[in-house]
Amino acid sequence: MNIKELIARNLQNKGIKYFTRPSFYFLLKILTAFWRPQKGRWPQKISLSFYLDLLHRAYRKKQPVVWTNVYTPPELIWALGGIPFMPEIFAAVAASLGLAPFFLKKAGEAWYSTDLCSFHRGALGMMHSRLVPPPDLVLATSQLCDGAVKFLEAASAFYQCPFYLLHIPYPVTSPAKAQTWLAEELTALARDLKPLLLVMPQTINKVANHSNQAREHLLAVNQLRQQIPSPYRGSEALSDVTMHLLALGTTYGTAFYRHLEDNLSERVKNKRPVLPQQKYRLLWLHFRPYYPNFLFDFLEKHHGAAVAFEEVNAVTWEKLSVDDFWFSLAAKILANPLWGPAERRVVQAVSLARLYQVHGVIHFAQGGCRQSNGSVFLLRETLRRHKIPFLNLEGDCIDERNFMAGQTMTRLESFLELLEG
Amino acid sequence: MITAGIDVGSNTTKVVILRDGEWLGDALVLTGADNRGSAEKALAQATKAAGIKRTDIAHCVATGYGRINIPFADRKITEISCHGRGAYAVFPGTRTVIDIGGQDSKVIRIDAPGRVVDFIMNDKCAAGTGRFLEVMARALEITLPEMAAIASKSKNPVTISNTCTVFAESEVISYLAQGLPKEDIIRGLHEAIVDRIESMALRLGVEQEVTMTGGVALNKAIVATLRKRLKQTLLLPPQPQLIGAYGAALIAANQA
Repeated sequence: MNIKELIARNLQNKGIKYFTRPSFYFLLKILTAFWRPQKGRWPQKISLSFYLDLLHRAYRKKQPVVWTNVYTPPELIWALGGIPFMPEIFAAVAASLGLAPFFLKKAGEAWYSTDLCSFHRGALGMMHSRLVPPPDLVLATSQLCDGAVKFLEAASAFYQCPFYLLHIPYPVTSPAKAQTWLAEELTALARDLKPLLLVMPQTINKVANHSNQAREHLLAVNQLRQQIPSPYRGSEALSDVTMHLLALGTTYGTAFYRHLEDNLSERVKNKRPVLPQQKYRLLWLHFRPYYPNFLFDFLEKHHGAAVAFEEVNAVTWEKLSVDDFWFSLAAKILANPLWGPAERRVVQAVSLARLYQVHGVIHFAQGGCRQSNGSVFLLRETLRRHKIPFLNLEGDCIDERNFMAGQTMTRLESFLELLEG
Repeated sequence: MITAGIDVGSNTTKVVILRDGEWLGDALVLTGADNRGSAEKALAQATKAAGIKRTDIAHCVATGYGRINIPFADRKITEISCHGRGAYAVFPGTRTVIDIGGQDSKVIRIDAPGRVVDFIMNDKCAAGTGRFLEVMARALEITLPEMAAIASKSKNPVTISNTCTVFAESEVISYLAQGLPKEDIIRGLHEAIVDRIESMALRLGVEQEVTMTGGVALNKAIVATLRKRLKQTLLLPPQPQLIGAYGAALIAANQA
């Protein structure tokens, strides 16, 4: 029996209690501390340590656990003295362990329609299985999708804990006004949450400094990725994105990106690309399927196609200010091109395609993801005008039952044949 | 030089053999459960028809959904590229190819030199494919070749509102129970398939000339309905179901 089967079997019996005990994660943390990874694997160790530490602290309950949605800047919750927990990320972790079908079934039993995004269904299934740290409060941000807000509202009702909604203005006509308005909202939120959380100026200083350091390393990583052939696998980058979604503002986030920068620098310096026979370079839009699948092996090993960059790894925000933290955090939120008019995302896609000198762009169309799929027409038309081939690859990031191997392979292969001309 | 193209489709496996681009022979067999076995069988029949030995084949390209299961093929190319290439070879003015096969349908755009520049495939269900017609023919207790002839007699086609093949079959059964004429039901089914194809074609953009390939192109009622909907002349190769294999054999000749 392998580890996945062991976990899956324990999910259905009393063994589940071990996964909800802080001591379980503490033990794993200690074991991980003794792990001496091979050269180049330090970021993986840091990432694992971060998640074990997060779960340990979240179950230990010394600090309040704040459930929030992806793309809420984690610095907001770290600065408020809470532990950010993004259930969508843990749905992806469950999928990577092959456990998503169990949780998706649980969500179905709780009346959640298959029409709902599988990130949320997976997370809801984990919630109904009581296999996630319960929140002390729920903080939803109205970006990027309304489904996330509804899902978090359901979580708040399920756990009977307070629900806060941070309304993110659509930065259309007056970006400056939007930033001021959001900064005031953030300041008010921090004031309102003071009795629940532990806002202290030194925490804000630390969070801002860690976030800014990590940002500098991530910028360097992204610059190194412009190298041809690529020094970093797109499949890994699409998994590592969870570090900048959740760990920015912590020592883990800074260490992770510092080590990653060192790795890529060494690879570039010693001419050790991840794919020596690189034939095509691709830009990836949206996330990837997180359950075990052949997609990236198929692209990389069989066709020499490297995912050179991903839109979700772009650094779109400026440094956070220690002196005016909430104002700079508002700027970071509003700088996300995935929020607001589709034109912002389209402009970024064209610019990244040029910067990373890609041959084509793949948009992974997650079933149920309105906010991403809604801009496909504009993406396709604009990229076509710039003579950049585009593939809209329909699939599912979490629910492997929606992954059709044959059809996906034919679409990908046809796209690569099209690039070959 | 002799080349072979093998198109392992969900329903049938087709082989075309060429000598310096000239058609020497072909074969078509049912695919069944054994992709490799059906490819071997079709290849044996095609070599016999061409009057050559298998060892005379210099280069072989496999295509179709079962292409990955053909170990003796020198290269595997998708059906998108092969149908594009085959249609362009038959009608060099082709800029749009509509291929309706057993389990999927595609619209392919090609440029003046014959390169595939864009494509779209049906989503992951059988609606808009040959399989849809097969299932309905079985429910109506008629053969596939009879379908087109019966459909042409219809005056008031019914509307098939379900896109799912299984639910559409239930809808057909319920129409039969209501005593509606078979020809109106069959015509309605043809309209439903064409709805799907028309939507895909318009999404990708239809540029003249338009060539139709795949086994469903043999159904005159589908061709007529699609022609009317798209307001385009549809070019039909003599054996549309062999165009994928033909394209594969042509690509094999280029790559040998």
